[in-house]
Amino acid sequence: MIHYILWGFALRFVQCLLEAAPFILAGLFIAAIFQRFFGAAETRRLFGEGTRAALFRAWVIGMLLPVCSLGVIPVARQLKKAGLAGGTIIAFAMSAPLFNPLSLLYGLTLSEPVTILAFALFSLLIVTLVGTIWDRLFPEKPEYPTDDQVIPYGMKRMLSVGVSAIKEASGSSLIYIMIGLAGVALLGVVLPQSSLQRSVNYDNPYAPLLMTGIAIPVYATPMLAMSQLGSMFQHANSVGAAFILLVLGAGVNLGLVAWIVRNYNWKKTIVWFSLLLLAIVGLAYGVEKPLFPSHIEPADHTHAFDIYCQPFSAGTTNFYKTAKEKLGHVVDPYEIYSAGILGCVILAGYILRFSDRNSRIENWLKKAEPVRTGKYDIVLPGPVLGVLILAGLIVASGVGCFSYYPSPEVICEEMTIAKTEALSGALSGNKSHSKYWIEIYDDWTRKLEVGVYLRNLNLSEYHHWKAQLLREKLELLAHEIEDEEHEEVRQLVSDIHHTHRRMVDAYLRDLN
Amino acid sequence: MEDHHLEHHIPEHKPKSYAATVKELDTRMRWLLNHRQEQDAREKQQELGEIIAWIPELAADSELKHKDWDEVNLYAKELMTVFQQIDFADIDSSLVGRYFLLVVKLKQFTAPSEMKRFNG
Repeated sequence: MIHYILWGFALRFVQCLLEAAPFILAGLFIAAIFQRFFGAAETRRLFGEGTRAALFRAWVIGMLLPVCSLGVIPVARQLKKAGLAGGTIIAFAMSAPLFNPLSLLYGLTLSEPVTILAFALFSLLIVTLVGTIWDRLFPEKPEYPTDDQVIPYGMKRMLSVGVSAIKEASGSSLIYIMIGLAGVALLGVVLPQSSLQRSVNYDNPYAPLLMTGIAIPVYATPMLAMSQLGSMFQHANSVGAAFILLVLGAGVNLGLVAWIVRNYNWKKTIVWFSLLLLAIVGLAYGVEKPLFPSHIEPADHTHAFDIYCQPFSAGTTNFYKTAKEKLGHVVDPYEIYSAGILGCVILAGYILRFSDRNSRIENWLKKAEPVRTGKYDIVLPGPVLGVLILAGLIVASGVGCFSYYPSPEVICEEMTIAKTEALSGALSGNKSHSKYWIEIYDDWTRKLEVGVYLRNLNLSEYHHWKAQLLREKLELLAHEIEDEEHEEVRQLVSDIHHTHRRMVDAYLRDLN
Repeated sequence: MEDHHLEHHIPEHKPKSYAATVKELDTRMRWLLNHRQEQDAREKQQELGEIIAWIPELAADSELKHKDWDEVNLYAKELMTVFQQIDFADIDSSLVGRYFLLVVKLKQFTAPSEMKRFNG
């Protein structure tokens, strides 16, 4: 029993850490840019502090920046240091992890695009409502920092961004991130394996409430939350529960809650949380019927939440080997590299803290030195550069979309590999191999749709059906493999072969 | 004992192919017209409505090309509108005629729906 608890906790912790690493790195550097390029006064100006537009701006900036609910913690801390109002910071912290360009595009293929856009607008409604009430209930006397922390232009300013990021990585942010990760890891220990498969069925009136309880400790990256939403729509699960998963699962984690408690005390946190839950649960029940995908035949379960439950099945003996296999199946190489860089950044932070207790480096960075400039060498103000860097990040995410969602030709080649592996695994009865490749195969069908949409700014209903039909058959195949229905597996494999051929023909030869 | 088998429910009346769908559109409507008073007429009527709604999906799961599928999709939408207007208690023959005309139009795509156009 103790092995299940310890290994279950460790596996979920490491898995989420690896998934979060790229976003945490992004959050650390975004916080450093706010600190060093913008400074406190310009950060407040960027967010429209004190104006009616502050909450809307926080939502827009949050939506555009590539962070998750753990990566947003260093940014929220920096915004607090800059003197922003609590409502604005929380609006930003809650909306930033919900979407990014990659996940939003992915989301548009999952259900009716209107549902995903409605979810985005509802999130704006919630953060605006909760932020406004919070600021009214707890008006804060603005406390602006005396030290603006802006570094004069030159190489020192570039260096200071790195220094700032590594210091933050080894500071309080790390503790809150660890709390967030511990929350989702504990959930994996407490919930028995596959225990959430039927909990969010469309006919369960308590599905949104149950999801509320689960989603608070859950940590999901924007893309993971979106793919889980997709699975829920594919199975015609509760729409209200899906909405709650997005807002609370992707937007909140225990680390963020701990940070809010630490900075705004228990009373304010309880009020904020009550308001939030009231708004979210109310909206969830409100959208349950209007946004229900009526054209989909409801399934009586979903596998979307298996990853929040105990990862080891009864009878597991070699925990290390199983954990290694499971990690290998869900973690991408770029996440491993990001985790390595994050580890180095944290280590550098500790070295800096111990070797520079008198802040000599910080003082040296702040010391202005005359910089020689040429006749045509224009000095751009820090905030202008800061905006350019942030805009660059957003543009890079946009460009990244084309790489993440390649052209149909590239995808069809990759898909052929996934198809061969998935179908041969199914025929030979290799469950885990087949299941692993079915997920990859399914993912490529979604990337195919987005890839075409990105390049043509249009995706016909015909092409959407082609990809959708293949996914439905893959889903059926996964179940028949699980149930060891060999005859049905053989029939489905043959059927999928034809469906695949027709889909490839449609996307490569019949696109217009 | 509780059944832990996780089901993906596929209705029994869902046709297996586009060709089978078109056939069902014809035979089921004829049955409904001749058995209006029967007990399960209401249920059969609902099933026919569902079959009409499945036309685009089943046509997409066939060998039909994009252009043909678009036409089938248009006919399917029109067929649904006509079907919803038919009052089986008081039959309007012009609507029924329109229904069967659309079924004939949909039948034209049966052959191409089963023809492999690419990759042999």
